[in-house]
Amino acid sequence: MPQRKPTIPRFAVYAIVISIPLALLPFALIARVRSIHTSQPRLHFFQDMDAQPKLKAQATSARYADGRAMRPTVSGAVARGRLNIDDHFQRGKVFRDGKWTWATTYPDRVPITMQTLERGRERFDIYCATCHGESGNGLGLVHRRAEKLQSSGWIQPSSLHVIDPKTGKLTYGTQLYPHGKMFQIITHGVRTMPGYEAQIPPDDRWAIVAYIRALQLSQNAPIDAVPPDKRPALR
Amino acid sequence: MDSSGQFHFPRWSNLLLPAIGVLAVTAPIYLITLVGYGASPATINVGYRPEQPVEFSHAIHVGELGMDCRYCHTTVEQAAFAAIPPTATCMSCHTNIHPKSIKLLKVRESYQTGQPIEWVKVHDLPDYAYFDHAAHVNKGVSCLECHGRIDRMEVVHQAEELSMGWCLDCHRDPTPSIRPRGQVTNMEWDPAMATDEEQAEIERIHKSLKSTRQLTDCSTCHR
Ligand code: HEC
Ligand code: HEC
Ligand code: HEC
Ligand code: HEC
Ligand code: HEC
Ligand code: HEC
Repeated sequence: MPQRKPTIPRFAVYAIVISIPLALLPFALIARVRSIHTSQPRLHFFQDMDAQPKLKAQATSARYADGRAMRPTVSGAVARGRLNIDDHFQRGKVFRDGKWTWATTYPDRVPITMQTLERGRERFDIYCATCHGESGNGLGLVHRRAEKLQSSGWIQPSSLHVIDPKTGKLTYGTQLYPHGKMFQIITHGVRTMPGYEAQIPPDDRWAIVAYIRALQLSQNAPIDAVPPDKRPALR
Repeated sequence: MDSSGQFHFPRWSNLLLPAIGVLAVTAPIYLITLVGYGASPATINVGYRPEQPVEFSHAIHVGELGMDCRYCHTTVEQAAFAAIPPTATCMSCHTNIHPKSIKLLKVRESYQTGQPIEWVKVHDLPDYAYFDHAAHVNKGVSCLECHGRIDRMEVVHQAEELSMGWCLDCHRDPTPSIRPRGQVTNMEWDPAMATDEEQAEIERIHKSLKSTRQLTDCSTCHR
């Protein structure tokens, strides 16, 4: 009998051809998982000490009825070193001629330096510019959006550069609107404007007041106040 | 099978011998790459996007309205933890913007009852690892490096691995990821935009960085 050369049968060839893409399938599945977002928490193969019983900031805890691990401060409690005894610094008020009036100067703790003004600019841009605009003209992006949505209760944030018609002076300028009052508006808000006591510490609030004064000067400065070499850029 | 009942490999199977040899070499390599690829932090950690109780969108508030991260996450510059804002912060605008929106129902409820909204934590390191926001933000490491383009996310998802190897990659040489402090929350900033002053500040920060040894010491992150 002549020896026939053995050949690989059809089915084995198919099996090999199919198994190669099959072997690549898991990679394709993983690549897909990598490219999508999932609302499932990640797989935890090893628990290690990933979730410890200790409580972290803003976590929940079953121990308290309201579920908060971070306990809210008891009302009236004062942290050490946080007692509000400096009325000028904390409330913007001074006792003068037998009565409390708005401070017209900055507290001693707040030196008016370039650094303070820079800090004030940064803080103004974070907390105020969204509504009042970066130049303080009352046309921040949130205001524009609210106008477009025609929100009924929304009132335009005041422009910090308006002129009082009676006196011809800046309504929110130093003469009609003392530093202390501006400080108090930032702290507690006014009418529809919210207060920022919880978000901005007092020294930053004073820095913002100082920066607003600089803004007001810059927006109403006569051209003579600009150094001659910079004037062409403004015209 | 032949008549004796014994099994004989068919003669053609000899032709597959080299293929079996190849398989013996490739199979372990295949398994190792599969597990390495599938179980890597880039597969497991990245892309987690839990459903939140309120449809809060960073794309609207940061991307469109230009709000700064610190308006809401007020503690990033002072504390290890980046605080999720209290409901009062939302109500500073939403008392008058979309005051009746159904999407804000939970926010108004929370404001009235004082019960906090239960946001689901997205980025969550194991409890044995220590992380500090202030240490990074005050040295000019941007939110972008670790959280991605938050200003384009409708719903926050995890964009980076947050694995130990990933932390160390930067800690070995953080200098390329340092920016001026004032630009830390600016998602559009590009080193090419740096002014001379900012360039000087970057160099000042480079000089003030802790040594690589200190930054890669186990006790920096496991304390
Ligand atoms: C959520 C938007 C919003 C933000 C943020 C905001 N304001 Fe206002 N602000 C307003 C609105 C609205 C008014 C006008 C209130 C009214 O007339 O009912 C106003 C009014 C004012 C006034 C005039 C007060 C008066 O006596 O008439 C001052 C000054 C002011 N804001 C300063 C600031 C400063 C400083 C900041 C940053 C710390 C700030 N605002 C942040 C919305 C805002
Ligand atoms: C209007 C307020 C607001 C602003 C502005 C804001 N956030 Fe958020 N952020 C939130 C709230 C509320 C949550 C919780 C809900 C969620 O995860 O979507 C959150 C969640 C996050 C998370 C996920 C936290 C977690 O659970 O792991 C990150 C990261 C984050 N913000 C980063 C940023 C960055 C970066 C910016 C600035 C580009 C920014 N946020 C601006 C309100 C804000
Ligand atoms: C500085 C102002 C401001 C703050 C603070 C703010 N938002 Fe908004 N928010 C807006 C504006 C403006 C819109 C409207 C955008 C639009 O519809 O085009 C909006 C829209 C929304 C919407 C969509 C509402 C709808 O019906 O389409 C939700 C939900 C929302 N905000 C949640 C929140 C939450 C939660 C917080 C607090 C973490 C918050 N916002 C803080 C200004 C603000
Ligand atoms: C070097 C990396 C890094 C940078 C830079 C960074 N974060 Fe984070 N962030 C993290 C990590 C890691 C976590 C998870 C922390 C944990 O689970 O303990 C986190 C968590 C958060 C959370 C959830 C609350 C928390 O602290 O667990 C918020 C909100 C947040 N980051 C906002 C910000 C903002 C806003 C900035 C920019 C000002 C920022 N992050 C910069 C790495 C970073
Ligand atoms: C993009 C770069 C970058 C990434 C990513 C990064 N870090 Fe850092 N980390 C820094 C820089 C820069 C410092 C500040 C060093 C200094 O103060 O000199 C720092 C400081 C720290 C510190 C404080 C060190 C000290 O002694 O005060 C801790 C803790 C820390 N990082 C933990 C982590 C952890 C955990 C991760 C990963 C989740 C991480 N970092 C990811 C750049 C980074
Ligand atoms: C830059 C910060 C950083 C430094 C430095 C660091 N680690 Fe880690 N380490 C982490 C983080 C973050 C994790 C958690 C990673 C994760 O989520 O899988 C971790 C996880 C671990 C784990 C658990 C791994 C697992 O998956 O079970 C071990 C063990 C560990 N680290 C040991 C060390 C040792 C030993 C050193 C010193 C040579 C060290 N680490 C230095 C940040 C750090």
